Amino acid sequence: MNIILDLSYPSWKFFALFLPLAALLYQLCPRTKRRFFLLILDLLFFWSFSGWLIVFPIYAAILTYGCGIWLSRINDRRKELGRKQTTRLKKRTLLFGIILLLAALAAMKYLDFFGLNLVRLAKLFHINFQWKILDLLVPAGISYYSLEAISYLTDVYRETIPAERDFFRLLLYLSFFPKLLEGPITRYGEVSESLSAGEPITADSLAKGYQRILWGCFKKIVIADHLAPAVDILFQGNVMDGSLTVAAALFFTVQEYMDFSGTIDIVIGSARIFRITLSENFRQPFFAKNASDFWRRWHITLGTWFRDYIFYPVTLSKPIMKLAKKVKKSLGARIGKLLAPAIALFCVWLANGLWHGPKWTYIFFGLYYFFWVELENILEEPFLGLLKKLHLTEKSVSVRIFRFVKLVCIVITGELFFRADTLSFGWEMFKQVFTNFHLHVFTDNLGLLGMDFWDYWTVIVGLLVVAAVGVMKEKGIPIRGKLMSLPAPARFLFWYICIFVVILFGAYGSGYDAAGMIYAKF
Amino acid sequence: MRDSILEILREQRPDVDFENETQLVSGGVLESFDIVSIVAELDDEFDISIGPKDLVASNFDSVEAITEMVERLTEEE
Repeated sequence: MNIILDLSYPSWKFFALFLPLAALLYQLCPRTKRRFFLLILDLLFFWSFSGWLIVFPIYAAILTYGCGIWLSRINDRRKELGRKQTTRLKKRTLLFGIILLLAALAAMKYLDFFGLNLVRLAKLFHINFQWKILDLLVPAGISYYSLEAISYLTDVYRETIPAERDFFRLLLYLSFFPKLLEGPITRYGEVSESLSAGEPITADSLAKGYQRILWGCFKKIVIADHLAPAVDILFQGNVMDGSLTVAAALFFTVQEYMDFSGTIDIVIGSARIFRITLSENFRQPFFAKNASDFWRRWHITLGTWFRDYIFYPVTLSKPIMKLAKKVKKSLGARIGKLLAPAIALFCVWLANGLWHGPKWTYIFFGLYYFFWVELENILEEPFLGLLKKLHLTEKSVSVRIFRFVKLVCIVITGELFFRADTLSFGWEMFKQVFTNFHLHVFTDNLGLLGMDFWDYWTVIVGLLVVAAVGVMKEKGIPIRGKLMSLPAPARFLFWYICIFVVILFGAYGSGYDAAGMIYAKF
Repeated sequence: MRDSILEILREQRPDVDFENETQLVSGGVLESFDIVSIVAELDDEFDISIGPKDLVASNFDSVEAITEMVERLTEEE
């Protein structure tokens, strides 16, 4: 992507220059004009990353706006048209909007992938078919705002929200700069009011916003960026030993979690400054009891989007319900009950894989989770029965340890394939764990992974802090409340120490790509 | 109607106290798999068609909310 001016969230230019200046000018604007000022910021922000590709979010907004208005006009004519005709026209309008939104996404992001795979397929049937690589530039945030536009249209179709009459409000929703590059994927009904309200920035919103940004910088710059060089080396292409595969998978999982959740903290903090509350995207994912619970805690807004706009509609569609009933009659209630969700889940996980990008590794990643979620669904009842026989409960320490180890194994294996350049390379790495594992190879190579002694300790201590905060959150301990109850000098000292920790222990300088945000490329 | 709904709910999730629970979805007691199973049973039992737009927490948070939704959909049918 041709970046004109680096304003990526974890860069100092963003949170120490762009954001304070934006906040100051926003505050100086009259309240009724603030939403237009935010919109200008959004467009500038987008332009700084993608230049002329700014036409794409504008195209999405015009299309979404038009289809929304059209849906509401059909609704208004319900009496005249009758129920059947109304439903038919609404469905057509919704499909028209979704197809054109997905067409732009597919054209910019997936065209080469589909073209090259068509060439492969044609070869299998001895058909001569060529594809010239287009290598198109992908507009920043297209995967995120496309999903938001689809959710808006579907919600208008379902009549859970009214169609927006003000085009600029819709454009503001789709392009709001803090969430543009990495989400969270918001719903129109949840954020539209606060986006356009023009609420004044307060000392409280500024403090809370920057505190959250600081926490995000800690995760991203102190932990994730320290691991980045090691992950790059480990995935470079020379598979030496299974121990290095485990290290690669583990390091990348930590890097990705800290990178993505840290960036989301910066995003949520940035929006909070303007008194706009964005949805949380993470909820202590490694406290999950299984793979599906993990996905209810990791990239939450993507999961709920798939649930509401793919899983439910597919499961409750007439053909699937009919099929499930037939199967229930012929093969029994249990299989019938599992069938409809299984078909919908397959669609969800295929879409999840594809959404991440045009690579077979991502598609494999999606289907890998389909396998685990489905397997855990099938085995849940027998597993609980087994626990009863063993006089154990889900809260027993041994059960929790077993579940944690199983979850970590599932997650890091998934991340191994997710990060590998190709599926075959991922498989080569994975095989080594069982055929060529020597722990000393890892310890011998510790110094050759682009991290020194202090880098390792910084990461370990940083992770312990994140884990401690996670435990407190999971137990419902109000961390912010406890901090706020401290006397003012102690509070200030605490925040100054935090700032210095990020400055002193952050990964900067050559070899570190502080601008790289893993989830911005999706 | 309430009793039939309670029976369906208990059949799906015998471990949940449906009489007293008021945050079945927003409290994370019922998951999406439970909900689609419950919907299939309710559709069959009351000859209604619960659509994706009805699958919001406020319709499934308690047995009362579910009963209200079923009553509304029965009238609409």
